[in-house]
Amino acid sequence: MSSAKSKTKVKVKKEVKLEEDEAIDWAEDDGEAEDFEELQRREEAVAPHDEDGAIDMSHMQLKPDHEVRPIIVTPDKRIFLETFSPVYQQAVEFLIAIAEPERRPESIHEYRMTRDSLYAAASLGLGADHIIEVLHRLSKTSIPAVVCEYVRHYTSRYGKVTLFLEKNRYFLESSDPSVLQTLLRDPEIQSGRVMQVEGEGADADGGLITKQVPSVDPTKIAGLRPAGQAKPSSAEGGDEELTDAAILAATERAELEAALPEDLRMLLSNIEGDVEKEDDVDRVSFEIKRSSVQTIQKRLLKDLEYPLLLEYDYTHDPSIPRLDIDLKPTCRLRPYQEKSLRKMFNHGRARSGIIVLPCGAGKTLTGVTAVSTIKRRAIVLCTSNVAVEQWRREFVRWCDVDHRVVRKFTSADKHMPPDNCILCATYSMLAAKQNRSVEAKQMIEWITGRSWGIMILDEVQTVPAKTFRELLTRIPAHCKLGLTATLVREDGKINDLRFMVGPKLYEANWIDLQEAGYIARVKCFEVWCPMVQSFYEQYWRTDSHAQKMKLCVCNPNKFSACEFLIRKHEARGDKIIVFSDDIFALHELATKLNKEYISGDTPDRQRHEILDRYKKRDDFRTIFFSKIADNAFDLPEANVLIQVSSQGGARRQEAQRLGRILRAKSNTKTRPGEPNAFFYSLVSRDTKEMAYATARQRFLVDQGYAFQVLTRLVGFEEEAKVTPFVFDSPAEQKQLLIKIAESSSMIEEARNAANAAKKAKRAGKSVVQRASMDAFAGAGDMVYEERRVRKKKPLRKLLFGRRK
Amino acid sequence: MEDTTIQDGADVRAFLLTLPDSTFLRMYKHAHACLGLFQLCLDGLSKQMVLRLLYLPSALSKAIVSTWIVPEQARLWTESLEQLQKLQILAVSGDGAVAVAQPFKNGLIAALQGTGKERCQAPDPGKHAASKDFLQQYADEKWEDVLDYMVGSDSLEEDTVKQALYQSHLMTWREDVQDFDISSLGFQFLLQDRRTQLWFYVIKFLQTCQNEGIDIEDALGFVFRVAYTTFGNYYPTEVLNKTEHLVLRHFSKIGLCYHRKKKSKQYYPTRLALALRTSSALVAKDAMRCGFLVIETNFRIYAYTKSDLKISLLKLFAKPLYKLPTMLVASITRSSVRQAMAQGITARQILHFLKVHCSSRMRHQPHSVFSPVPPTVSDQILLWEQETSRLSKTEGVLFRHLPKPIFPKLLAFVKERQACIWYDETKRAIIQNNNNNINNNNYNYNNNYYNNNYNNNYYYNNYYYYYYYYYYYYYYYYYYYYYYYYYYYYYYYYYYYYYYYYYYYYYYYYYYYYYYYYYYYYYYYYYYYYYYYYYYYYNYNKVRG
Repeated sequence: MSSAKSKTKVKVKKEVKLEEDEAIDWAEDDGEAEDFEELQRREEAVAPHDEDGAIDMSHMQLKPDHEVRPIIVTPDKRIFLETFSPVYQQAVEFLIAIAEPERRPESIHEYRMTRDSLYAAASLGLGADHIIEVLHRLSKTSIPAVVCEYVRHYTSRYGKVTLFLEKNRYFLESSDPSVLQTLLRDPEIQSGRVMQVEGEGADADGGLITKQVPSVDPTKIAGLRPAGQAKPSSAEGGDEELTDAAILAATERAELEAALPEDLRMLLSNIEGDVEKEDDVDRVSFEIKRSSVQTIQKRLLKDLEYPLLLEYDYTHDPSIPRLDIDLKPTCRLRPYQEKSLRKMFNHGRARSGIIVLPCGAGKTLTGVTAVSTIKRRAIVLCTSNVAVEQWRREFVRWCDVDHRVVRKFTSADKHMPPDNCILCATYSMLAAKQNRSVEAKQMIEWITGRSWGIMILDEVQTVPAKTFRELLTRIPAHCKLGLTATLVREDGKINDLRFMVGPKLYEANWIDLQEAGYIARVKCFEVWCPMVQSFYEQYWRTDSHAQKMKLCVCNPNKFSACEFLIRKHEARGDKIIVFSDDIFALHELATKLNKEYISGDTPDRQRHEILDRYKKRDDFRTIFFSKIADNAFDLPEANVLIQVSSQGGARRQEAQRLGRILRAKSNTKTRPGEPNAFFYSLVSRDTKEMAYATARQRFLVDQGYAFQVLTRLVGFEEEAKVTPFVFDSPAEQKQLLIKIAESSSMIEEARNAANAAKKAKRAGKSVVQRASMDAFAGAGDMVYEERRVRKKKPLRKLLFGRRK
Repeated sequence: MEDTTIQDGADVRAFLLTLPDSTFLRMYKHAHACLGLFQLCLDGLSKQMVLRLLYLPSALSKAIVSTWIVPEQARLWTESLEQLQKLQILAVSGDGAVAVAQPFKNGLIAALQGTGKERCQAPDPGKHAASKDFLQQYADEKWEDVLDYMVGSDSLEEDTVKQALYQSHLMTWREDVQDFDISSLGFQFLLQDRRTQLWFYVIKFLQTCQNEGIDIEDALGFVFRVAYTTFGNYYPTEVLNKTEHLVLRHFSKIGLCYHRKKKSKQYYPTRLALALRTSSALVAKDAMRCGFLVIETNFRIYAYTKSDLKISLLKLFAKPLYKLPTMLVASITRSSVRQAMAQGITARQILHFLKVHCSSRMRHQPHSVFSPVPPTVSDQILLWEQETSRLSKTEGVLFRHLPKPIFPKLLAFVKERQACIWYDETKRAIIQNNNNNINNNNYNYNNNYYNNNYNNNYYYNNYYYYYYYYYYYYYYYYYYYYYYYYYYYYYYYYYYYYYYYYYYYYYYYYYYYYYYYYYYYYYYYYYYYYYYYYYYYYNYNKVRG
C-alpha cells in the first residue's frame, strides 16, 4: 500500500466496503433451503432415485407426436427444453416467465420451477390452469401430478393481492373477493384498514370497492408502438431488405410450423394472448392506512403467505407533478428491451420488479425508458461515482429533457436539485449515517421527505447487503425497478430481493443475444501458468493464507503470460484491460510494463482523465484496473480482458468482468461467427486458484460460455527468446519474492514485536528491538504528516438494553 | 496380454505380419485372402509395385525396378522389398530379377478377375430367401446381443461365443459369483466403434483357432471371402471345407453371416461382414453409426437412447442424473472420469466414443470441424487423465560435493550417456539414473566386488562406475579407503591405457587429481569454499544494491 494517507483513502474504503460485504465463502450456496425440505421429501417419494442416483422416469408414456414437442417436465420441477425445436422461441418466452433458467448452453436448456418463479409468473397474470395447459401442450409426456399440484399451490397464493398507490392512497386489491375477505379476518389488517365513506362506490359485501379494469391496453411505453400494431424493431434501422436466405429460412420455418399438431399451432399465436385476457375482470379493493403499509406488507408475506405486489397507477397520480421527459425519436429499443418493458408496464400501471440483462446489452437504456414512460420524479441508485456520471450522461443522451433536471448526488456534488428531478446517487452516499456533512444531511432529509415515482436500483444484487437493506424502506418510492446482469450472491441472500424489490420480470439469454449480435462474441480462456519454483517452495512453507494468495497472484510466470498476451494483442490492434484485485500485484505489473493503472487510490479527476485518454487515443492500448472497475465502467472499445487476480470464487465478479468487453463491437475486423472479444483468466497451477477459477466460472458456464484451458501459450517461448519478459529474469523474480515476503512479514513482525513488548513490560524487563538505522531515525517507510485526531465519544455500555 | 489396447488388437496388418512364413504360401490358394492381404497389409508403394509387376510375363531386373523410384525414396523401397519378400509376395531370384511369386499372382488375379470356385452358384433358397432388411436386423440383433451380454444381460445363449469372449480376455471368470464378468479390456472394447470391435473379435478368434490347431489359412481365407462378398446375395456352403464350416457357424452366431440352419445350402453375408474390408488405418464412414449424444459445454450429456447397452456405456464415465422417456441426462465429472480411468479406460477412448456418437442435433460450431465434441470438454477429460500421470518415478543415485574442477566434465560425461536426471551446479550434485547406459550391476559396491564374475565386459562395464564412486567416497571415507583405491586405480590405469586408449583422457584426469588431492586436499577445499562465498556475497550485494 502506498505510504501517503491522503484524503482519498477514506473514500476508497467506502467503495471497497461494498465489495467486502459480498466476500463470503463461495462454497456456500444454500439458496432456498429453508422450508423446502418438506417439499424435497415429497419429491423423493414421487421421483425416487434409482441405484445410479438418477431420477428414473423412463416409464412415462410418450405422446405419439413427441418429436415436435420441445419440453419434458420432471417431478422435481425441472424442465428440459430442446433449442432445435421449431417452437423454441415461443416456448422460451413462456418458460422464462414461469421458471428460473438454470443452464442455457447451446442445444438443451434446463429450467426449474421454484416458488419465486411461480410467484413472478402469477404476478404477470398467468393463472395455474393456463400454465399447466401450456406446459401440457409443449411437453413430450404428460405433466407429473406433483408439478400440477405445486403450480396450483403457489400461483393460488402469490400475486393474488396487489398493493397499489392511487391518488396518494394505498389500496389492497384483488380480482377474487374471497381472498380479501379472508385477509380482513386478520386483526392486524383490520386495524390498518380505512373504512369507506358511504356512497363512494361501496359494495354490499363488507364495503369493498369494485371497479372494472379496461380490457384495451392503454399502455404506451415511450419509444414503442402500442402492442397491437407492434412490429418488433430489428437491431439497426428496422426496415431491412429480406435477403434470399432470410426468405428461405422463413419458408422453411412456415413448413415446419405447418407440420406441427393442431393444438401446438394454436398455442403459438396464443401464448401471450392468454396472458392479456387474465386481467379482463372486475377487481375488488379496500383502502389501507399509509402508516400501516409496512406492517401489513410484512404480515402478509410472513404469516399469511400472500405477498403483496406493488403496482403504481402512474398515469393518474396527482401527488407527484409530471416531469417533462420523453425519449428522443431517434432512439430505438432492441426487441429484448421492449419485451422486458412490456412485462413491467401493463394496463397503465407499473409493476415493481427486476430485469436481468447481460452486461453491455443496454440496461441503462431500459432504465431510462422506464423513467421516461412513468414521467415522474425518479431516483437512480448505483454502486460508484463513475456509474452515477454514466447514468446522468445517458439520460441526457437518450431523452429530450432539460439537462438541469438530471442531477447527481455525490460527495463532490451536493447541490440541492429542483423539486421535480431525476436524481442519480450512489448507495453508499445514501446509506452512510456517520460523519455526514451538513449539506449531505439536508439532502438525505430532502430525499426521504418526498415520494418518488420510480426508484431504479442498478446492480440490484448489492441491495441485500446489510448496509443498504433499509435504504429501500427509507426512500418512499411508488415503483422499484432492479437492473442487473448477474442475479447471484454467494451468501444466498438473493431471495430477499423478492420482497425487497419484486419478482424477476425478465431474464435474457446471453447466447441468444450473442447470436443475434447484440453483445460481443467472447472467447474465454483459462491460462494455466506453472508456479516458479522459488515461489512454490515459499507457497508451501508459509502458513498464512494471505501470503499464499499473494504468491499465487504474483507468480512471475503469470506476469510473463500477461505480458505476452498484451504484446500479442497490442500487435493485433486490440484494446486491452487488465484486472488485478491485488493492489500490490497491480502496482508491480503496471509499473514494470510502463502502463497506467486505476485503483481505489487514484483521485476522481485523474480517473476520468485516464479513461478519456483510453477511449479517445489510439496508441493508448492497455489499461490496468483494480476491482473498482468490475462494474459500471463503460469501456466500449475494449475487446480483450486479462484477469490476473480475483476475489476467491465469486461468480458475480467473473461475469461482471466479462461484461466489460461484452458491448457489441462496431469496429469488427472479424468475420461473423468468429469471436471478436477475448477473456483470459490467468491461474497459477497447483494452487488454490485452480479451485477458485472453477467456482467462479459456474455462472458463465451455465449461461453457455465455455472456458478453454490453455496449458501453454503458442509462441510464448519464441517470443521470450526475441525479447525477454520483464519477470523472466531471476533477479526480478528474487526481488519480487523479497518484496512479498517483506510486505507480509512486516505486519507479522510488527505484531510479534508488539506482543513481546507487552510481555516484557508486564515482566518488568527491558525490550530489545532489532531494526535498521533508518527505521530508528524515522526514515523507513514513514512520511511526516500533520492531522487532527478527532476523539470519539466513548460508547456507553447498555446495561439493560435499549430503552423504548 | 492384458495391457494390449483394443486399437492394437484390432490391427489386422500387425496380426498378419506375425503369422509364420509358411502360412502365407498356403493362404494364397484362397483368392480373396490374396486380395485382403494386398489391400490391408501393404503400403502404397508396395501396392504400386505389385500391381506393376503383376501382369508381367517374366521377371524384371532389380536395376530396372529401382528406376521407378525417386532416388530420395530408395531406402523406403528396399524396406518394402524386404517385407514383400517375407510375405512371399515378391520373389527375387539369384541374379537379382524381381517378379510376383506365382501362388500370390494366381490368387490375386483370380480375385481381381472373379474366377475360381467363388463363382459357384448356390441353389435357390426358395421360400427361405432372406431380404436385405431382414439381414440388417439380424446382424444388429446378434451383435447387440453379444455386447449386451458383456454388460450383464442374459441375452446370449451361445456358449462358443462366451468362450471366445473369455479367451480374448474381454471377460474374466469370477470365482465368487461363478460367472463371467467384464474385464477392463472389455470396457475399452465396448467404447470402440463397430469396425474396430469386429476386427478385434475376429483376430482373437483366429488366434484361438491357431492355438487349437485349426487350419488358420483356411479360416483366414474364409474371413476374407466373406468380407469381399456382395451384401444381399447368397453363397453356397457346398464348396466350404470343414474349417470353413466351423468359422461360418461361429460367424452366424455373432451376426457376421446368416446361415439359417446347419444344413442350409446357402449363407448370406451381412453388413457387418463388409466392415471387415477396411483396414484400421482407414476410418470408414460408419454406416451403422447413429449419433445419439448431445454434449454441452457445461459437461452435460443428453443421450437420446433407450438402449441399455448405450446407457451402461455412458455410465462408465458419466454420472446419470435423469432417465427420461426419450433420453438420459448425465454429467461428466472429475470423479466419474477418474472412476473410468481406474478401470483402465483412457481419455482417448472416451473422446473417441463421444466423437463417434455425437448427434447431428448439436448446432454446428465453427470450432467443431475436427470433432463435434466441445473442446472444453475434450480438453478437460485429457487434463484429468494427465493429472494421474503428473508425477513419475525414476530410480537414481545422488552424488554430492563433487570437486569443482571435475564437475563439468563429469556432468558432460553423464549427459552424453543420457543418464543425468538432475544436477545442480552450485551444489555440485548430480543424480544419475539407474538404467543400463552406464552399467551399474554393482552399485552396491562392497557387496559385489568380490563375488563378481570376471567376464569379458567386466572392466569395460564397471569402469565408469568406479570412476564416480571414487570421488563420492573420497570425501567421506577418504582415510578408510585410501590405500584400497590407490591400488585399484593405479593398476587399471595402465590396463586401460593400452586397451582402451579411448578413455585415456578421463583416466588421466582422475590420476592427476588423485595426487593433487592427496597433498593439497585441505588447501583446495578451503580455497574453493572461500571463493564461493565471496562470489555469492558479491553477487548478492550487487542485486540488492
